[in-house]
Amino acid sequence: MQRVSIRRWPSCVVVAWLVGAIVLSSAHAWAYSPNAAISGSWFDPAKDGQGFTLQVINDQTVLATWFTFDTQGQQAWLQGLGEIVGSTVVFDSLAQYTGPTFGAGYDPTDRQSTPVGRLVLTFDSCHQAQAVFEAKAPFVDESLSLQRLTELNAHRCDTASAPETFPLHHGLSGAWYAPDLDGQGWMVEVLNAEAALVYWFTYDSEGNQRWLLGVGEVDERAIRITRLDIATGGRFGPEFDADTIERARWGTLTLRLWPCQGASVTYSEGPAHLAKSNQIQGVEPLVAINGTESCPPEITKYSAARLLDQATFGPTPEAEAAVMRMGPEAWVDQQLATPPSHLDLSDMHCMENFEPEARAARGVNEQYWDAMPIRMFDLFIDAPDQLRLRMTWGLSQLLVVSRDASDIQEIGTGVYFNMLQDHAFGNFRDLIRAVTLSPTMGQFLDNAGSFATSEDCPECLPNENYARELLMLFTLGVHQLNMDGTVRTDASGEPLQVFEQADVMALARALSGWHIPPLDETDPRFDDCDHPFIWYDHPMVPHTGYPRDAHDPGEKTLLGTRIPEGQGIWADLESVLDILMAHPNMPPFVSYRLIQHFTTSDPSPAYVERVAQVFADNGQGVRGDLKAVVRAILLDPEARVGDTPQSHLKNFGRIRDLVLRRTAVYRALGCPSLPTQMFFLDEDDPNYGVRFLPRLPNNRPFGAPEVFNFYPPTNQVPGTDLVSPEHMLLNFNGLEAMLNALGGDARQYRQCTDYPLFEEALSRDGPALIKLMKDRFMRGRQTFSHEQVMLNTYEMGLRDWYWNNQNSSDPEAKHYLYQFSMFFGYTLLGEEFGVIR
Amino acid sequence: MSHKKDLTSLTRRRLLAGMGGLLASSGLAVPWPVRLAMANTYPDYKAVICIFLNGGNDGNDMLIPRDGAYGDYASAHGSLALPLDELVPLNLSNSDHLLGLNPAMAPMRHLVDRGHVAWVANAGPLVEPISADDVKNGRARLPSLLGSHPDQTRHVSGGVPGTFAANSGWGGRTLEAMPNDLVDGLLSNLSLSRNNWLMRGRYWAPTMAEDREYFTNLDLRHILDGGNPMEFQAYQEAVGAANSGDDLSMAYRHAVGNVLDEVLELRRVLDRVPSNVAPALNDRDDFELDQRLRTTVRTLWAGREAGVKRQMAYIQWGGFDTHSDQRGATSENQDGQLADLAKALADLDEQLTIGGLHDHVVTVVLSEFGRPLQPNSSGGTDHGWGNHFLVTGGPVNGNRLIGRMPELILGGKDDMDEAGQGRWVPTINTDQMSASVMSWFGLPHTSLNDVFVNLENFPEPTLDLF
Repeated sequence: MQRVSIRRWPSCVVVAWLVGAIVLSSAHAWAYSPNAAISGSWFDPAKDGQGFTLQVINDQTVLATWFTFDTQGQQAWLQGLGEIVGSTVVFDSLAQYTGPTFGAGYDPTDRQSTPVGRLVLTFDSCHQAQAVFEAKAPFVDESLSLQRLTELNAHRCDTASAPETFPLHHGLSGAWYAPDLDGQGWMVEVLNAEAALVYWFTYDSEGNQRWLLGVGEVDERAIRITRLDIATGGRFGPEFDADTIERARWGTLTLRLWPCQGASVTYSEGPAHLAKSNQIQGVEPLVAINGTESCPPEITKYSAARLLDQATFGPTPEAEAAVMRMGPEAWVDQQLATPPSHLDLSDMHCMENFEPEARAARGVNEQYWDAMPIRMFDLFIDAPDQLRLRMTWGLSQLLVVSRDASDIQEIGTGVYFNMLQDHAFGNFRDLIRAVTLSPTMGQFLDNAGSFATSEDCPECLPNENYARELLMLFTLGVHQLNMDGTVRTDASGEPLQVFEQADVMALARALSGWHIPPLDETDPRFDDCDHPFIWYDHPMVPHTGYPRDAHDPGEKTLLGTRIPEGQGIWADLESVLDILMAHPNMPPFVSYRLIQHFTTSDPSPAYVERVAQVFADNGQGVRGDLKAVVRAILLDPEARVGDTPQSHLKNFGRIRDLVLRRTAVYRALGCPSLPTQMFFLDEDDPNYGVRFLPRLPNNRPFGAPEVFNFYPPTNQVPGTDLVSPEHMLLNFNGLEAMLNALGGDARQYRQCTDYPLFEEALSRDGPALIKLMKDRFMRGRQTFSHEQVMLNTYEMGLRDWYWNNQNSSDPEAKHYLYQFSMFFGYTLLGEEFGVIR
Repeated sequence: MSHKKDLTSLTRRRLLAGMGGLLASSGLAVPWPVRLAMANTYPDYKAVICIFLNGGNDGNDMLIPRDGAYGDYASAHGSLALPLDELVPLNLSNSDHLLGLNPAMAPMRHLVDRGHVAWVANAGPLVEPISADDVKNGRARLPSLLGSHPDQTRHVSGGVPGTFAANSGWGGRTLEAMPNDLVDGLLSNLSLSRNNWLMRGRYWAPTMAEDREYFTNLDLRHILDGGNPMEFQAYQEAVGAANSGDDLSMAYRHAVGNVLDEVLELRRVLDRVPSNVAPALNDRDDFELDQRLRTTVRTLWAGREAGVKRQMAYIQWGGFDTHSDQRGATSENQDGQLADLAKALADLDEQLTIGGLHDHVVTVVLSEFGRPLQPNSSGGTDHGWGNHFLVTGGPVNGNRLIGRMPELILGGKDDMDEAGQGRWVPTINTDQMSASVMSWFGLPHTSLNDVFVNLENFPEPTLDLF
């Protein structure tokens, strides 16, 4: 992308050079009828350093802002609405606004308006106009011979030349303001696919007028101006002298304007290294240029629900409304800023706390072995940090620990979950350090107690288990990758490997000597139980005592880089992190897997590369910024292009895993937590009631059969080249879980806020029920492939069943919602729900 | 791509056969193939069972020298070394060494004594015959990604990156190469495990015969029995008609559509198997491997009765990635699992005899790699390469060692490891072993190189196992 900068503004020639060739027409023999194409910036080359922005609002009306100076040499911006009359635009009254003070104390009610004069613009052509200003004191009369400075991308004078293709931004040009901070605003001119000119008209700390401007880079949904300038030294009227105008950097400005509603503006004043960032929320379009939509593309229920399918545990009406109000970008940013929720582990350190008597005494109704995933589901369903939790569900499948494939305790998976939550939007380096030192991981892959060969222990050999998986599963993979995730090959077409056995051994040595911390007998929980599992709370520590020298002090060579001898266990860890982070495989490897988790199982190389670039550098020179990576994944054009039905790219999407199937149902029904289906181990004793975890064959969180997760990330659908890991869930056990959408006994759903809506529809008519299902589970789409048969199922079975049982005196019959559960299951079996795309 | 069309036609054929028949007959079950009635002799029936020991079984602790080499083993293997006097003696007719078996495997002793087990020494995935010196000198062409579980599993299963075999295995490809009248779309390619690369053909996906997780308050059987045609129609229409040329759409619809079809058909098949086939034998019937082998035997029996001539079944089992606690008798230790394996193989032998299948079935026990002889500091071992395997069954010419035991010396002539931890360079390609079994199964010699990628680099493509 061409980096746009202006050496000196308002030297309009420079701006003109930047924004592309200006064709100056010398032909003005006949009158020109102003239309939307006059929108843009205009200036008089003889009085360079001031200028106008014009915005044609409709067939009759033009908004003009004159960025200039007053007769005392202070900045001024004069604004008014004009009417198109023939070849002229007449502004009966331009006004100067003053009063509000810049920054936190801004109060729109301070604003005062002073009329300054009448302006008439007469257009010779789309490129030339004459300005005549009849002033009121203290301003003075002025005449200017205007030329075109900028044309808007969507409104070129030459209508034959089609606008460059970037449909998201066609409607961004125009005036923007924040209703809560009325009286100031931003004039946005999108010039082409890469650049936009922005004016900010506002006030200084004294309430005097101030205007700032800059040319910014346009990326998909934001305009980023790294150099926002302020001009001084001009004087209105005959004394105006372009040579006295000074231009200085004021700060930075970022406008996140897509999708318009709920947009935000971020700015910082002063030198970059000192600047504190401020944000103005709730920015909205004030006027749009005639003939364009102010909010392209429209945020529909479909597109909002689609983003929620990709980024959360399922859409809800409230979440859809939030996305529609804020727009995808602002919503994602808000989610990225939401602090982590955590599992409550306070009662998990004693297994015996979950003996029935102990459970009852503590009011806990979960069996010990199910408590962690049950509580995870509670968070998945209702916690506000949906995107973060979704990231954690993804990370738990990348940086796998499993209580089913080892003897780690339940609390170990809980601590690990909370750790992932804390690091989900941090830096990948910190995450990998935390994983490496996690006692849960240390136990799972044997790096706890992996000791080097030493004098005390000549037979010791570092354990290679963690070292190998750290390289091949967690950070780099096995094949060398291009930035776009494709495999690099040698001259004969063989894939190049990332590492060799020698690297595994070197890494195992560099990571030798760690140990799970000794039990802290001063911990208040120590005496709570016979076998307290309290060591999981603390990262692993260097082993001390016998055998001595458990950490290998020697020199190691890892992936071609030397780790010097004798630098110690902590420095070795940092050296390892240095080497892993610097490796060219990491950005595409990690990006690919995260893309697979959020949006599509088989992403295009271009998509992978765009995300990997962000992993490699978040724009501020930081590598491994997961927040930026997640943002890039979700807001990538390839992810968003399917925001209207049927418009997704071929083969785009991912099969909805069983956890997401379950949570989508719970969330759509408005369940406040995992519905408590009580299973009475002893009917006579309510203390024996326990909460159920739904069946999740081969998909239970932290229950993978091995460190390779539930399914290999490279799994291809048999007989095709299509990558689809979740396809491996589509076996009989998976199908059973899918069909049994509500559980056999759906009474539990009465705890869910919106369940009555479903039962009401059930009691009323089939189309109402089908419509509700489409609204809640299929993004409100018009129809689905087996809609008619589901309607028949209702008419010919479910309706009678409901009415027959509704009046039954047998509560079991009345509430036994097996038939309804089946109806849900079959409705949600189709690809409209089963494949997120 | 033409093979996608094949996938479509195959899966659709099954789907429609199962569902269409049901609907057409107004909810009556599809009659079980008439072949059932006519089949009673089985001169040309053959089946292969593959048991894949998940995680890399340490062959060093399966076959152990009882002669002078025991000292090499014991000194290199340190605290993990099994005591000499506890080894189960093997009387092999053609071995350079006196060998013994891990004592945990004693339960299969009678199987060994009856001559039904052949041992394959130091095999592993290979591109071409090589020595440890070749590896150390960088002269050897090596299989990619040695030491990686999933990648070596793929290699042993016949999936070789960058070749036609990238996304399939030798079992599936062999079945695809068989004449159509010998194999059956439902009953010839059976998998009792989700990870089943070995059984994936280029377009033929295995039938998932595993049902041990089956429990239900959603009794799918009433669909099978025609209990609710409406549900069946909903199911069919939800996943039946792919309405786009989109692979993901097709993949979802076909997979979901086939699952019930397959399970119901298979269930119908198994319901017809008399209870005295693969009966409960002993207190081990609850064990996962035994259960899966019983399901296997019942499925083989049913296939044979139906006139199917060739069947393969695949089971991936266990957790042999013993980076720690290799010794011990629980299901997390190698010994405990080898004991389970040995008992299961002995029970399988008995079940096959009861079912009249004994002389028709060969079982091969595989794993992705061996482990270095030198233990790590956790009482376990890491990832190696060459490994020992066993092939068992009535047709097997047993009590023999195929190949040569590695020299059990750290840094010795078979050790590829610069650090000398005892990672053996295989002297036999696992594909040679697999190709031998597939040759017995009926894969024509001329098709061997079509199924096994690097076999042409080996002067003797098959081993003397039968």
